[in-house]
Amino acid sequence: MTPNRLAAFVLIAFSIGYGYLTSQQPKGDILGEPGSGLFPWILTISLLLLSGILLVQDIRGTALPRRFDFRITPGGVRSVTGLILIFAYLCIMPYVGFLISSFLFFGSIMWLSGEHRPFRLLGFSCGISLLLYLFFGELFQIPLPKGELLRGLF
Amino acid sequence: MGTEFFQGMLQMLQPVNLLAMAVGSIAGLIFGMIPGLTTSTCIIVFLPLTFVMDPVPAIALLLGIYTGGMSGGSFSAILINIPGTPSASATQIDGYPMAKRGEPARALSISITASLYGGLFSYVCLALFAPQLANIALEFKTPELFALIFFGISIISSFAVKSVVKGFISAALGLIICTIGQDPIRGIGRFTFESTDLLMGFHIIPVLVGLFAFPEFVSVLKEAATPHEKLKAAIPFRKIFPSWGDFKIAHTANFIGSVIGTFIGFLPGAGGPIAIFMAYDYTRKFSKRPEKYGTGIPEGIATVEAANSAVCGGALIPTMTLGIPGDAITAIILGALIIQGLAPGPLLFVQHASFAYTMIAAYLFANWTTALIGYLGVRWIVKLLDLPKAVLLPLILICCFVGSYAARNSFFDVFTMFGFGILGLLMNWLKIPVIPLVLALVLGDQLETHLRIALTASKGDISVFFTSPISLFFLALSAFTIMWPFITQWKKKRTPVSIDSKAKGS
Repeated sequence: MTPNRLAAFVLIAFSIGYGYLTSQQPKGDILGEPGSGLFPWILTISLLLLSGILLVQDIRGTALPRRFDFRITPGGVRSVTGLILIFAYLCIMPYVGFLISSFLFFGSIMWLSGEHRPFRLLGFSCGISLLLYLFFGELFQIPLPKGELLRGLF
Repeated sequence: MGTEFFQGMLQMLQPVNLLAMAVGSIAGLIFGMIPGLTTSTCIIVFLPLTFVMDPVPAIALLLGIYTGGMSGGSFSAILINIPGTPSASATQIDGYPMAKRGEPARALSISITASLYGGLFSYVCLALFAPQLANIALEFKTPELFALIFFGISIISSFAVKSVVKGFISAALGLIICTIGQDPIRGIGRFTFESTDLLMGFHIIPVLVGLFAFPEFVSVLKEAATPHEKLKAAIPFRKIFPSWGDFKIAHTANFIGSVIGTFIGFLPGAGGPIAIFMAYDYTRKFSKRPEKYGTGIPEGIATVEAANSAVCGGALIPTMTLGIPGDAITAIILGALIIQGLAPGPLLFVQHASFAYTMIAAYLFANWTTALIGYLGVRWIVKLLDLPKAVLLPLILICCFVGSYAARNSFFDVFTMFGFGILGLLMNWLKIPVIPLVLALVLGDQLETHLRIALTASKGDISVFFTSPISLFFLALSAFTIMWPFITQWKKKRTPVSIDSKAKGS
């Protein structure tokens, strides 16, 4: 299975699902207003057609990339770890608040990027997280999350 | 027009606007200069701040970033042979050899001066043509507006990408995402799965942050542990100011670059990278010493920098007058203006004429500010090239998070950012371009609204789009832009391969 073929199948399945949901939209009225389903119908048909063309192009060998490239490289591992860290950062923030989660996130991304000196790690993580908190939270009055667990403290 | 023009100039002279512009220029120069970071990321990082600002300082900040970013890309191209932005990828051809020869200050000076030249040239075009074009576009009714937006989306989907099919898939996905939320005519919910968050639709900021910042984050993180080249060259302060001799040598190159840059910028989807290589090629063809190109001559640097700066002014013409952005950055600026309640398009010059002329003036000031900061501050700004990625990366990511969160103070938007980030990565991996999706997201609502209003007015008769000459013209142009890549491919296949090239190939 080539990446384009997989993408084409996923897009076809998506178009069918989207088309099904579109069929439940209200129809046009007698005054000639085409209704909220018209535009989604056009998009469903267009996406189905385009996915079909992508599939044909892939079968004929004219679409790139031709195959999956799943080599495990240190850079690739770093990228995936980085994405997991972002997800973890977003998940813990409502509980521990912006300041603590940003401190932890900052430190872990620095570590992941190759900075292992403890004083620099701590200094930058603490300093910049605090600066950002003051800049956005205090200066620009953005109500940054304080954290469910720490609500009583602030 | 004259009064509004001068009012715009006076408005821009207010300290708060100049300060916002200076901040934007500095940020743009820094983001543009550091390889791996782009002007789009810079605008996205600063976008949330514009929510709490008045429209004029907000646009001053964004235009400062835009011009600064275009100019900053050349600094790293000249000093470490790595272009900061794709639009500076031809600057290094002559910039780096000149710096290596021991003249980095001269190379930077020529680059900053050329950026100013290109920017001012495109400003003149913007100031002259934008109001006229807006006047013409005012005559457009819903069928014409539908055809125009459709043309904008189709030209970006076909010309700006390698695969037309993938370009259109991207645009279709963008339009589908646009349909989630309230129906723009009836106001009822569509595809919301009874979620109140989805009823409002996806906010443009988290979507942009995810689509642009995540792929950049991943690529920078991949290379993060690799030590980058340290900056060795010293920049003497006195030598950074332009010399009359260099200006005279590079004058023709500046002019050619500016003309090409403005024209290419005006065409939606073409953008900086095309303009710079075209400008470099044409300047070399017209030069009396074409053999010297690539050895570090002023003309080689000047034409590229004039072209990439002129692209900004060119791209602002269709953005402001027709509401069709010329490139990804103007698409983001367009989104920012829509959030401010100032939807660009022909009506901008009627309903918000004062703002429209202030925006034109802001572009003029942005060029001067960027050049001034460039001349005075380049020797310090370039030191940031040594800043470790380990610090920059989490800093930008946290700013991206705050930007997404601040859009509506909602974690739904934060997870939207993450979701679109993964989508952006998948699209990147499958070589599906992101820009058509962004443009479709920005213009999708208008496209649907004009389509439905036109059909309602004509009682469902689709011939309404073909009976108006303007609408027919844009639809024909759209058909041509869609078919053109297929025609060229077909022509290539039909052209017999010569014996010479076969021999070379073997």
